[in-house]
Amino acid sequence: MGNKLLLQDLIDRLSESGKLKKKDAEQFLRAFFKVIEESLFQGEVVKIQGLGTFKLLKVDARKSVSVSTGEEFQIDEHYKISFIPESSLKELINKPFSHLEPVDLGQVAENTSLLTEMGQTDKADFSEERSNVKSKEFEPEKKSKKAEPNIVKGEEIDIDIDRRNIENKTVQSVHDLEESPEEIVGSSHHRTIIIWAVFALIVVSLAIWAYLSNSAAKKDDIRKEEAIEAYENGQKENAIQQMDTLTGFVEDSLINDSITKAKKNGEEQEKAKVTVPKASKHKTKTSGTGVQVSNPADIATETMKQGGRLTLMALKYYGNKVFWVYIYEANKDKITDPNNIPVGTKIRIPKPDSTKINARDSECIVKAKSLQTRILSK
Amino acid sequence: MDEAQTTELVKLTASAIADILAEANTLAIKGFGTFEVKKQEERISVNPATGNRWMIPPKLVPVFKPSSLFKDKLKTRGDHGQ
Repeated sequence: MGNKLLLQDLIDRLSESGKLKKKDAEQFLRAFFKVIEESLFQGEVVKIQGLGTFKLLKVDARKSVSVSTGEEFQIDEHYKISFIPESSLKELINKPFSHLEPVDLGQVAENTSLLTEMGQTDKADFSEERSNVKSKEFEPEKKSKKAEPNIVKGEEIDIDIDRRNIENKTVQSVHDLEESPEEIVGSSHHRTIIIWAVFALIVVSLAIWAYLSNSAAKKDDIRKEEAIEAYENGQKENAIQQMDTLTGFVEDSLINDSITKAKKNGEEQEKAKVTVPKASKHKTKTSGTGVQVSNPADIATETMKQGGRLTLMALKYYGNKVFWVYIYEANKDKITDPNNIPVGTKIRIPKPDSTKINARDSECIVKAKSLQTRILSK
Repeated sequence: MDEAQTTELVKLTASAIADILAEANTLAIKGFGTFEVKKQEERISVNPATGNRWMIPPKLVPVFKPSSLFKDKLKTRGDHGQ
């Protein structure tokens, strides 16, 4: 065991087992190795039964870097001697470990949990969005916490026609994500773990939300972000409005889409339901044009257009979309559902009351948000 | 020595070498190289198609290392008929 044997030992063994003298054995072995060597040099492949195959392998020229000087130098093309043991020899040598078999460890653990987490995150988002405003506070924090799906989500908040696209895509991807772990995992044990993970995630999400609603300082930053995003989206919206008819068509087809998808599975149905009212919300359109001043208390009057929204008007006139609630208050008589305002409705934009409407004041925004919650929960 | 004898001797030699290695010994032949047994550590491999992970157990593998003399000869003989 672990001894280093030399040619002499091989000679001894050979002469013991065989019928030849030590001298002959030595002669034979020397010739044996010599033949192998010579044959290799002639480019032959030498196969010895019960042992293995010797052959020369060509190593292509390559560049390398000198370890000491860091200089590049060329390693020339050369040959190396390779020995491939026969499987019988391999088995013989591996006897001590032959009882070991490869073990299937199943699905890569991180993948599974990641998939569930992604699926779950979206679920949480949807439920949050049902209670509406809250999700806006919720989102940015989650963005940092759980990467991808939230980024998509975060953009979604900033109402746009593109948004429906994103939403539909998200629904689809959620569908994919939810199916895949089940396909792969298979075992009921894993399912239980997933269910627990999902449950834990919901609890964590709620805790984060509770924390956020109490932290005014953080919200301030978030609101700034929102305002910027909303502004960008507002610009996009203007461009899109020029293609009213087209977008209307796209919209309808998208809604239909989400309904069809909803039929696919129960869980998704739930989400799609959320998607549909959302889509219709954006039907609540306003035009950026046709501004008239008819009432001295108003700064403008807008006509609701395809693709228009109260939030966009609020952003345009008051600097933050959350102040749409005041536009709604001023037009309560004409608007039955703030999420679905008929095209052509004249919307009065009241003069902003600086104590209530001030995009730079976080308290105003908080008030508007609570008002928004009340209006939307009606 | 005729062919049949030689064949037998080669077989004997091969089994002798195999025995030496099976006993976890190292066999060094001057001017030719060294036969030894190496332990390949266990590892985890992932099936890229299914994503399943497999624990590959450790194993013992026979290894041949040509001697430096052999390698030098290889270098000096530029043409290997390939």
